[in-house]
Amino acid sequence: MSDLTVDLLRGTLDRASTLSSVTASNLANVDTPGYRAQKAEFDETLDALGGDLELSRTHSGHILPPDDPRPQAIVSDAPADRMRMDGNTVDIDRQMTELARLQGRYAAAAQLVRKRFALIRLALTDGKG
Amino acid sequence: MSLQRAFDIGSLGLSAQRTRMETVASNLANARTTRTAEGGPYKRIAPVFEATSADESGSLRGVRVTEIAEDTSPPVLRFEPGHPDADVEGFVAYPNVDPVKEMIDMLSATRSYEANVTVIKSVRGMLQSALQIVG
Repeated sequence: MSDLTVDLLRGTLDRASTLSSVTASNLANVDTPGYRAQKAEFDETLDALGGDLELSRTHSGHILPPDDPRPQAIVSDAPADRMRMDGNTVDIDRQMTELARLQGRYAAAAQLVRKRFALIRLALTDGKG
Repeated sequence: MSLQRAFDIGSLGLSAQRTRMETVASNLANARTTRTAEGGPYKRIAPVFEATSADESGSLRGVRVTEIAEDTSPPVLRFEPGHPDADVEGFVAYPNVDPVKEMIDMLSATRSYEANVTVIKSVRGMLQSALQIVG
């Protein structure tokens, strides 16, 4: 059963967990000399092109791949406003804020998925669910 | 399971900071130790942190302590002719440990440890909200 709402929210949950791994990485290395803070970005280029890119089918028996709204993360060095004497660029305050933000976003998306399933359940049980 | 990885990285951070705290404890406990198995006064130690690869692509980094290195700065000489370890001129070689520096290091290690605890706590919060999807 495919559901666009759930698929989109799954993308949000995936992104939030990838981003929190990157934040965990940065915080674990807050005292590692020379460590550059990392940031993750998601490649939305295909979406920007219009989104309606489909594989062409030359045979009716070809199966289309399932829609995957999860773009790949591109991890790179985060721009640093300042660097410590040891060359480390992790800003602990920024990382902690990011973490709190991600937790909130993740909880919100999870709650929405829950509500969506509750609606589906309501329909399945003929409005008595 | 990206969240699992965040958990793992958080725990690597905890153990690195705990090791750091242990070296501080060792340095403070031996701040006045003039005799060691290798001879001479105790030498200050400090952990060396290294960012390790925590996933296939190597973009996520864990952390580990590669070695506990000895501080190579010279011992502190104090004039105490009555001390059993005093040299012929009456100087005693005390460890190159500066208690103030150790205290600052201890505070810094505590804060970094707390940051990693917060990572683990908030990842746990995220997992809990994922579990509630079915609830």
